[in-house]
Formats: sequence, C-alpha cells, structure tokens
Amino acid sequence: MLVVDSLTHAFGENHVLRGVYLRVEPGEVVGVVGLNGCGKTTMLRAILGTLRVDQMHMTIADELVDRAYRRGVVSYLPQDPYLPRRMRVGRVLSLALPSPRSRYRVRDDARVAPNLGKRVSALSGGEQRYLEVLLAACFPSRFALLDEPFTEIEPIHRDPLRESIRATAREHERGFIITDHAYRDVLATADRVLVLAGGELRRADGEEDLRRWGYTPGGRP
Amino acid sequence: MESSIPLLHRVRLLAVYSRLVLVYNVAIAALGTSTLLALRAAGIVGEAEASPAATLRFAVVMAGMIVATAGHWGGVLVAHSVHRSEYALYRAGGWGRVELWLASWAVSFVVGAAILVAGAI
Repeated sequence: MLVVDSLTHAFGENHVLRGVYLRVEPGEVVGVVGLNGCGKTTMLRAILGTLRVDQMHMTIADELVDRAYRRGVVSYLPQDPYLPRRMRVGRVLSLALPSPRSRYRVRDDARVAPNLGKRVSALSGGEQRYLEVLLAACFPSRFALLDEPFTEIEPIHRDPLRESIRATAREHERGFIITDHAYRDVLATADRVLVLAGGELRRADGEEDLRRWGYTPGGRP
Repeated sequence: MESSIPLLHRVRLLAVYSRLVLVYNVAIAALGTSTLLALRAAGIVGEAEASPAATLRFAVVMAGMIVATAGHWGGVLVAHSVHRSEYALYRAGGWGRVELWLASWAVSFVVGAAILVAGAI
C-alpha cells in the first residue's frame, strides 16, 4: 500500500498542497481531478521523488520511501512527450522496460505492433501518447502515476487503453494514480475519484460531486 | 526496500545517455581544438613555426583534454537543452539528472584519456 501523508508544498506565496493525505492499495486505480494549477502534477512529482517538497511522509508497504523512482517502485508518465524522437519504437521498448515480459505485453499490442520498426518521430501525436501510456502502465513497478494519459488519444482508442490500465492493475496488483481533464474517462477507469481543490483531496462519488467541488460547471461559484 | 531495476538495464540506459553526450562532446572538442590550432598558427598560443608532427601532437593532446573535461560539460549542457524531455526515460531506470551527468563523465574521461595516450605514442 502507498500512503502519502502531510504533503505540503508552496511555490512562493502560492500554497498548492496543504497537508494532502492519499492512500492507494495494490491493484487499485485512483483518479485525481482538479482545475489547472491546483497541484496535481506537483503531487505526482512529489510522490515520484523528483520534486523536493516542503513536507511529506510517504510509505510503500510500510517502508519509508524517499525518491521512489530510484528503486523502480513507482513509474511515471509525464504530461509532455518524452520518447527520443530519433529512436525506433522497438529500441525504445528495450530501453524503457527492464523486463522481457512487460516488453512482450507492449510489443504485442495491436496499435503498437505495426509501428515497431518506425522511428518515434514518424508516429502521430496520438500514437506516441498511446505508446507512452502503455510503457508507464506496464513498467514492472508497484505503483504507476499517469499524468494526463487520455490527452491526444482518439475516442476510439480510449476504451482499449482504459481496459489495458484496469487489466494491468488487476493482473499485476499495480496501484495507479491517474490525473486527466478527460474526467469521464477518469471516472470510468478509476475505482475511486478524488478532487484536488484548495490544496486538499476530497472524495467524489460521481459527476454531481465534481460539480459540488467546483470542477465542472453548475457547482459552487 | 531494494531496487527492482536490474543493473544491466541501468547500465544500458547510461550507455545511451553517455553516447548522446559524447557526440556533442566530440563536436565541441573538434571546434575547440580547431580554434586553438588557428591561434597557434597566428602565433598567439605556442610556437607558430612548429613542425607538422609537433602541431599534430598539440592537436591530439588538446582534443583529449577537452573531451575529458570541458567538452563533457558542454555536451551535458547541449543535451540538457535539446533532449531535456528525455530525462523521463532515464528516470525509469532509476537515474537522476546529476547522477547521469557524473556517471557519463567517466565515459568521457576514458575516451579523453585514450586520445591523450594515442597522442603520446
């Protein structure tokens, strides 16, 4: 189980995170939504260990963890494209995934297989994003943090991607934290959804709660 | 908690990054050495009337020194500017930025030393 407690961070006078508490079970998919600038990416980077925050206490399987990325216990999909454009997709798979089993899983995906011999620069934005999401989801870590996995993905490919994330969570007991403004996809993928507002996480049981917390129109002013 | 990333995988990622930096490093070293040779020919640095063999040795020694030192950090700077987004790939192998820069320096240092040794023979 991943537990983040007392996560607090400010950029100057802007206090984006105020004592956030988050718990993710193995195999659970947790969705986090919130307005732009509310601290979603900051929270993910703090959990990954690439951002020094003002305060945070994090444990994985009851062990205190600092800089989780160093141990391979947490994988991360950043918002922006990150695959080297000069490399072929097959080469990228061997560099991004340490285990042959996870490489086969991505290589055999119906949308990735035809592109194995192509350079990343020859892929469309959507194809590249799809590949990046699969790489982060299939990385043999205990937890995966996906920052905007549905952005740039065509509607027709979102269902398989959602199913792939859920299947990976189930089969590998991998916990996921997903943030995206495609909130209907987040609601459909996640076991539970949280709204990050005012520097704190609040539970949302459906679209009505998203309105109530000011994320979608029609809620509080 | 032990790392779940195999050592071989980490080394492979380091090799990819080191090669990237080395490409820029060699280009910087070539540029630096050419500049020094031009200054030498103009008599601003060293002997303007040196023999071709002495000039060649000077070029090799300078190239080796640049590759092992300033060329590496120049290469890191260029790679950081041009390929910044790719850090996420290396991070998946457990590499932080500073670790990558320092570890790849070992590769640049060995290549620079090899050039120096070649110049000494």
